[in-house]
Amino acid sequence: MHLLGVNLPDGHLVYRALRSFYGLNYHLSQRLCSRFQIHLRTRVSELTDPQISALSAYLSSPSTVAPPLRCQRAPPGFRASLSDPLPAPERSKRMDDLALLKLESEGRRVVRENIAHYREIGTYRGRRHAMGFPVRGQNTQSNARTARRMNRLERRGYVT
Amino acid sequence: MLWRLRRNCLRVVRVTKFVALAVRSCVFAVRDVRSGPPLPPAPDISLSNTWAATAMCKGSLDQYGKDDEPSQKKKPLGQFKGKNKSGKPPPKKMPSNVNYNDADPAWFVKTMPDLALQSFEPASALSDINDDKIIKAIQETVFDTAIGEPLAFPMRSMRAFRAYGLPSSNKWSYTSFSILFSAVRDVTVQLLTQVNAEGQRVRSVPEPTGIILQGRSGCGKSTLLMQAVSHCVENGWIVMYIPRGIDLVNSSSPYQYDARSKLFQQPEIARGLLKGLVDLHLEELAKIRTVGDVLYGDKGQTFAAGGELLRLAQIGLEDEVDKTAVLEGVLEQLGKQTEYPFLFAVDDFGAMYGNSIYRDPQFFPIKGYHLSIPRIVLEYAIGERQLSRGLVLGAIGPLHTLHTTPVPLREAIGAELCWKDAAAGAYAKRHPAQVHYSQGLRGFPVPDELGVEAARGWYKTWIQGFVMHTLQDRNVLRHMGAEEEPGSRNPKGNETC
Repeated sequence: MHLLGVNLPDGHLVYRALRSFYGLNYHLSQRLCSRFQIHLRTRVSELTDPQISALSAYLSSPSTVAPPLRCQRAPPGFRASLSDPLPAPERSKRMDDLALLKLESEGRRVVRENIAHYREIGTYRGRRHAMGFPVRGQNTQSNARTARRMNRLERRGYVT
Repeated sequence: MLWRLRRNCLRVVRVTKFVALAVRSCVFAVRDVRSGPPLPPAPDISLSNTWAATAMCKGSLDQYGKDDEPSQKKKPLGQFKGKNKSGKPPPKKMPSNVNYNDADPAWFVKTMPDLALQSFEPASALSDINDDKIIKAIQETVFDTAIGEPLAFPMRSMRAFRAYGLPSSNKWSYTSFSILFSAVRDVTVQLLTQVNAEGQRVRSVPEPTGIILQGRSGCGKSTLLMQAVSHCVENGWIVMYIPRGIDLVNSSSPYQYDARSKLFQQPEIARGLLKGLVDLHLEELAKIRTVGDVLYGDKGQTFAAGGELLRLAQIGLEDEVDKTAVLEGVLEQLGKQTEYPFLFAVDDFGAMYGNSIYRDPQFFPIKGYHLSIPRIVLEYAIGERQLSRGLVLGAIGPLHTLHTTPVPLREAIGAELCWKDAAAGAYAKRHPAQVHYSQGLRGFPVPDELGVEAARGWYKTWIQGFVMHTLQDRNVLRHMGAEEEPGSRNPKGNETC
C-alpha cells in the first residue's frame, strides 16, 4: 500500500511499517496506532478506510491533528443500556505530543538548521561538521568513515 | 598513591581468603569421601509401582527385575565409558528403525472408550449438594473404574474444539496422534461431579457462579478444562469456550471505544464467539425462544419476543451490526432459560484483571475489565448477570508474565501467593476493582502430581503409539502388558533410548 508516497508492504505490521517515515520509530508508531485505535497486530492490508484516512491526514500535517478522545472508564457495577443517550465525545485538553512532531521534510530541515546554527555561532561541533570529522569524540586515527561520508553542513540525511 | 596501595592490599587479602576457603572445602570434601558411611544398595525398582518415566534412560532394565539381584556381569546404569577387551572404545550405535509391523492397529479402538458418560442418572432432588450420599451416587457412575485410562475426545467435542480453538499449551502433544485424548485423573472425577451438581441447580436470583481451577504451572488445568467442556458438550449443555483468554487482552483483535457503555468493544471476538455457538449448538438455539424484546442496536433495532435465539445469533454474524450487543442479548437469553445448562469456560482467567496490551487514544493502558468481552465474563462469574442454570468455569494461567493473576483473585480462590505478596501481607497491592471482580469466586485446587495410574496411561499411549520412535525397550513393553514377538530383542542386549 502507498501512503503519501511511501510504500508500506501489505504483510507488515502497521506499527513497524510506519517506521518508513522519517521521524517515526517503534514508540511513536505505537502511540499513533493507539491514537487511531489500531491494534498492534494489524497488518497494513487489514487497515480500514477510516484508519487509512486518519493516518494520512496526520502524516501529511501532524500539527493539525485533533486532540485525543478522553475515554472514561466504566466503574465496577456500571451497566448502560442501548436506549440511553449517547454522550458527546470529549477531547483531551492536555498538551498533545503528537502534534509537536516534525516528520519527513520538516524533520530533515530541523536537523539541517541545528547544524547550521552550531557553525554560525562558532562551536566545536559546528567546525567538526564543516570539516567532515566525527563530532562526538570518536577516534580519527582510524575508522571515522561514516563521518567522512555524511558529516557536512548541508547534511543530506542519507548515505551516498 | 597510598589509596592505590591500600586497594591492592585489599585485593590480595580477598583473593587469598577465597583461595583459603576453596582449599579448606576441598580438604573437607576429601575427608568426607574417605571416611563417609557406605552408600545404601540400589532400590528394587519395579514398574508396577513407580513412575514409569524412570525407565526412559539408557540401558536395560533387566537388572531391576522383581526378584533379581544386580548382576555383577551386567554394567550398572550410567557407566558406559571405558574400553572393551581389544583396548578400543565400543563403537557408537545408531538407534535402529521402528518396526511398524509390531503396531496393533486396533489398539486405539480397543483401549480408548469415549469420554462421554455411558450411564448417568442425575439426582432428581439436589437441594443440598454437600450431601455425601448424593455425591457418592454420582461418583459411582462417573469414571470410577477408569482412573488413569487415556480416553479419546468424541466427535462432538472435537467439533467444539474446532469451533472455539484449543489452548496453546496442549498443542504439542496433539500433533503426534491421530485423535485428541487425555488421561482421566481423580481430580477429573471430582471436577465433573461438581460441574454436574452445579448443572442441576436452578437459580432464581443472580448468584456467583464462578469456579476457578488453580494450581502450579503444568499441573493440568487447561486439560481439565477441556475435559469439562467435552463432558458438558456430550451431555447436552450449551457451551461457550474461550481457550486462550490471553487473546482477549494482547491487542490481537480490533477495538473501539463506546461512550455509552464506557467500555472498549471487541467486535471480532464477539463475532467469533457467536459463530462458534451457532456452529456447535444449531438445534438447541433453534428450540430456545427469546423472552422479551432484545435491543441490539443504538438505532432502535429490536428482536421481537418469541423469536428463535438462533436467528438472533445469526444476526450478529452480519456486517454493520453491533456484535457485542447481539452477544450480550444472546447470553442474556441463555442465562434466563432453564432447559439447557450453560457452561462458560475461560482459560487464562487471571489475564482479565490486570493491564492489557491495548492503549487508549491518550496512550493510557486499558485494564482487562474495561474491555467488553472480559467484562461480560467477569460479570457472569461474580453474579452481576443472571445465569439461571450453569456455571462459569475458569483456569488461571501462571505462564504469562505480563498478565499475572492478582492478589485478590488468588486469595479468593485459595491459590498460592508469590513470596513477595505473602511477605507484604496486608500491604500487598489490592486494586478495588480486582477485589470487586473476585468476590464470590470459588477455587478448585488441581494437585501437582499426575498420579501413577494416569502417568501409566500416558506412558502406554506414547510407547505403544510409537510416538517416541527411538525407544524400543521390549522389557518396558512387556512390563506394561504389551505383547512381544519372540526373537525381537537386539541380540547384544543393549537397548537404546
